[in-house]
Amino acid sequence: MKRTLLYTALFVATVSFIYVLARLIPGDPVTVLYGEMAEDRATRDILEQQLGLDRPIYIQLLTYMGNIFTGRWGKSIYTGEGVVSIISRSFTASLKLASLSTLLVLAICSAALYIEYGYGLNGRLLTTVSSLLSSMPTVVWGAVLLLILTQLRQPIVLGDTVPPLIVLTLVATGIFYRLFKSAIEYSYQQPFIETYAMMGYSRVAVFLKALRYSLPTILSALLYRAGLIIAGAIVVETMFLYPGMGLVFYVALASRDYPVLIGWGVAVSATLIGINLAVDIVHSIADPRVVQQWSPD
Amino acid sequence: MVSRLAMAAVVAIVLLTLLLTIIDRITPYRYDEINLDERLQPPSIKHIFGTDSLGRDVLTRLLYGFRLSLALSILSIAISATVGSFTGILSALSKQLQMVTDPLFNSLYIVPSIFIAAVIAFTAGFGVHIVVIAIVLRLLPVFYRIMRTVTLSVVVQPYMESVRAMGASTLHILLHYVAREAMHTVAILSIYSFPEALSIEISLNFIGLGIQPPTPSIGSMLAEGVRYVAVAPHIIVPPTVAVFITILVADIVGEKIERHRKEIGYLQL
Repeated sequence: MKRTLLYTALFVATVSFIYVLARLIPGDPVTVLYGEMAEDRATRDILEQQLGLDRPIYIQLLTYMGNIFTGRWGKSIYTGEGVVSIISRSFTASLKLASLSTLLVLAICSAALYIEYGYGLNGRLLTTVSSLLSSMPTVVWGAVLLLILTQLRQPIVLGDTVPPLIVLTLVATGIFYRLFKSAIEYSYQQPFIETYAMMGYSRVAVFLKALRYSLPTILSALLYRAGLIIAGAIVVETMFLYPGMGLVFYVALASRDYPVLIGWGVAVSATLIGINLAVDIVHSIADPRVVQQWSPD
Repeated sequence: MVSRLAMAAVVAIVLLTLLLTIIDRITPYRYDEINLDERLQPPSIKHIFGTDSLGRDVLTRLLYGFRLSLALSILSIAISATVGSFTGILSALSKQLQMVTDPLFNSLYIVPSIFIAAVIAFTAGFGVHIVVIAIVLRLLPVFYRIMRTVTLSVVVQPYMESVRAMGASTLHILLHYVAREAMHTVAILSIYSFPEALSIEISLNFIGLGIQPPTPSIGSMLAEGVRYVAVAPHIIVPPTVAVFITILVADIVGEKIERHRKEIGYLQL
């Protein structure tokens, strides 16, 4: 409860920050919205009054806050479509990408670790591959995939989910494999594992026990990563023209579409804050001992 | 002691530095030399990596772009390391400072640094500084947080009480105990943040927020390579491979330093 309040405060602060930042952008809204028609001084005054620009900045900020919570985010300068509908459409697309990628990563990493610990295989190769996967920028894997696809003469369906999904999953698998591994190694060092082993549990059962013990860390990290994907896998989405949040940012940036850009900033910050809150909640459910001492980062 | 792999990495760094300092002398083309008769040429003896959509030599552009990318990444890491360490260490010692810096750096985790960079780009114009700002905004809170933790962990060591009892001032403790620990942490953290810095740099240039044409950068070359990947796949290969090798080398060096650290018994991160 206290955390919810804290995060709400953080959200309000962030939105104000974004709004003030956005007002720093040169070019005044009247000219942008109504073009050169509003040259006449009197007309401009009326328009400014209509937009509330004649009032002090803190009143404007409060109005904007109110508008955010009531769903009036303005319209795109370029297409005339409502910002809310643009953002929600691409948000859904990103959400789809993020959840699919998270599921895949979870499956691949569990499988790899299950093989490694459950059957006692040497993990040297897996470690090398994972560190290779995780330390390369997403762009590199995107470029490699694109090259492979074109060399195989495969059609690249722009806007398709599969190529960005593959790239994001590759990179995330690298990161998570390492994280899973260190979390599981840590839980294997706990005394209770030895007890289970002595009680005659099979290796697989012991592995599952260790997995349960390291679950909070793993879940938090996965959630956090999913948040980052929703917040904008800008390069990957631009590369494969996937209509998610990243592409919205790119297009808004290229066309100087300020309302969309501000909406994007607000939505992304809200998502990141929401994810942090979700991480806190999930973590406290999965491991009730650390309600107080743990802080997200 | 030092493995062959690490040796190779160090040799690669030295050779690369040498190569990048003398590129102005050795390249027969300029990076912005347009030759429309030789557009999208595949690799040949005349153009080792081929030419791009305006007939510019890909190898020349790669070398220049690579030099700029490396320089920007290293500069940004240096700035974040300096500022982050100072604020981190000082905030560990002073509650008042912490009350200012903590919310500030935490909010940097929430607002995407690329958004701030975009706003600054609209206000102050596109260019190199946008890249530096975006990288610094991303790395600063990381350095801040870790240096703060390191300082706190040094200050609470049992031997610090005897150091204090011997009359050591705060400055003395900072210089002789905290700095010794901090130096190693900063070194290793800097190397590990290199891939991150390079990747932000690439992303920004990829979407056109950073370095403007005709100045080449890895990101913009990749963007062009993506555009022409079907007709001229040779454009996208060199920058990809360059990034791949650079990060591999940085990874190897970072791992070696960390192992060395472990052997001589420093605090673990």
